[in-house]
Formats: sequence, structure tokens, C-alpha cells
Amino acid sequence: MKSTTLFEAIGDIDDKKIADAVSPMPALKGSGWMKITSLAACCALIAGVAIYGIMPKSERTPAFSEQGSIQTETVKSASVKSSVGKMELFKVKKKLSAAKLGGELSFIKSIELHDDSEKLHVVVTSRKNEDIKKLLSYVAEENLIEIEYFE
Amino acid sequence: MKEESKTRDVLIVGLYFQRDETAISVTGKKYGNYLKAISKNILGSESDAEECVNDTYLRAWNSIPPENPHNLGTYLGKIVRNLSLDKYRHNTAEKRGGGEGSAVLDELADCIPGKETVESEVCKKELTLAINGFLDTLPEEHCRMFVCRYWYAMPVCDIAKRFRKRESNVSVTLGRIRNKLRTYLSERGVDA
Repeated sequence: MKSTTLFEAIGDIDDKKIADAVSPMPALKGSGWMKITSLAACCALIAGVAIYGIMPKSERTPAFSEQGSIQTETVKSASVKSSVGKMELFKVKKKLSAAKLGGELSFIKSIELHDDSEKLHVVVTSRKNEDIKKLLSYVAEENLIEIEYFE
Repeated sequence: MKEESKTRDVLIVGLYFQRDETAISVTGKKYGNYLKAISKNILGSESDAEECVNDTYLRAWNSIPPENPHNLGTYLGKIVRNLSLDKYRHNTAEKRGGGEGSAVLDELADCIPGKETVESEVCKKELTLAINGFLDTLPEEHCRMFVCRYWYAMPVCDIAKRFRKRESNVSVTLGRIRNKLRTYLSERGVDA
């Protein structure tokens, strides 16, 4: 057999195949909608990822999570903050106790740190401004302690 | 659109039956470019293609009636393709000519199973039947690609544009189809 024989044989194939070959390919059923839907889904996914990426970590909540697990996240975040605060209060308490023992803050009667409080409870016997200023100089932030005057 | 085209074809064929010479000019208006493209793909020469197209009109005039083509475009396409192949043979004997003809025939030589012997010369009708059966096994896009290349003798770059694919992709696909065709023909004893 020669290639020309094959070429001639191909020449006599079904008319439909010959006509179909140069006609536009039929569009798949619903392909237009499928394209639009998949494009919209991709855009939504990209937008979601982008928003999640630029959002501060503290504001992020897990997607598709139940209410309970979101609450757990909030509680966990609070407890982390609280444990950091307690450490700071311990340090302040240590410093104040040392100053009291050293006689620099002899007007301090007691220093208490309660589990349910985020402040150090300091009982003092002096109301003098200079004493209070001296006491506050040991504390980084004023709101870390609450002062009670002992009469 | 397709129906309108078919109706126009019926009217054109009617003119041939009435022996109305305007049939040729009307045919030329509708199918001139299509026929010239097929011929030019095979021969690569504008003037040779023009000659083949004119011979096609004459052949159609002489064959309709008694022929009553169902699809006028394909009918004329087959005529111009055969005439172009004859012209190609003539040109290669005289060592002239270009186009896709030689490339297409070289590629088709890959599809021929076994050695070429006198006994291996098979009936053309049987071969056409086998090729039709083979094309039915292919995915639609591959079938279209095959026909574009080996019926219309379209250059690979044109097929790539038509199917929105890379040329290399089309070449690889055509190569795989040729391998499949060789196996198909071999399994059916077409080389026997």
C-alpha cells in the first residue's frame, strides 16, 4: 500500500466527518454557566484568603466553626493576657516587698495579690504625696495597683 | 444558518439539473475560496490551485446529473482534493511543487502497516471503511484534527490556531493518532 492510496481512501470518508472538521466545535451544555460559576467561586476564595491574611490575628475567628469553639478561642486569648498580667504583678509585688523590708517603703502595711483581681492590693499607712509618689515609682503602670489607706 | 446553506445548495444543484450555466458562477461564489484553500494546501501553488478549482467546476458540471449530491460542499471538496492529488503526482514527477502534500503523504506513510507488496494492495473501499471505523473510535476533537490534516491537508500551524492549541501539541496528537491508525489497520489485517 502506498501513502497516496491511504490519502485517496481518506478522501472518501463520511461526508459528516469532513463537514464537521471545519465547523465550530459544539459548546458543552451549560459550559457558559459553569465558567461563570467557577470564576465567581475562585474570586470569592481569593478574596476570602486575602481578607483573612490582612486581618489582625486577634480578630481572626476560625471559619465554619461552631459558636462554642469561637468562645473557647476568646477565653484562651483572655487567659493568655491574664497570665502575662499576673507575672507582671508578681514582679511588682516582689519589688515592693523588698523596698518595704529595706525600709524605703516602710509605710506599706501589706501587699496582696488576689486570684480574681488583676491589680495588686497595697495597704498603706501614709497619705503623704511624696510617699505615694515613691510607691508609684516602683510600678511601671499606675493601674497595676490599687491603694487602700489604713487609718 | 445551516438549514439556509442547505437550501441554497439544493437550489444550486437544481441549476445543474436544469443545465443552467449560472450554476458554475453561483458555485464559485459560495465554494470558490473553500475549494481553493483545499487545493492550495495540497499543492502550495496559487496558480495550480486555481487550475484545479476550475477543473472541479467542469467535473461537477459533467457529473451533475446523474449525480445528485446530498452535501454539495463535501462533494466538490472531494473532487478538488482528487484533482489536486493528481496534479501533485504530476508535479512531483516533474520535481516541482510544494505545499503540505508531500508532508501529509510522508506522515501517512507512517500509518501503513507492514511491508509494501503487490499482495498488500487492498481495496480502496475496504480501506475507507476501516478508516471510518477508526475515526469513530477517536474523541471528537482528535477526529476533527485528523480530518483537518489528512483530508484538508491543513498546515499544522493552522490546525493549532483552529483548535487553540500549540503546534507541538497538535504534532504530538497527530503522531499518536497515526500510531493508533497503524495498529488499527494492522489488527484488521488491512496490510494482509
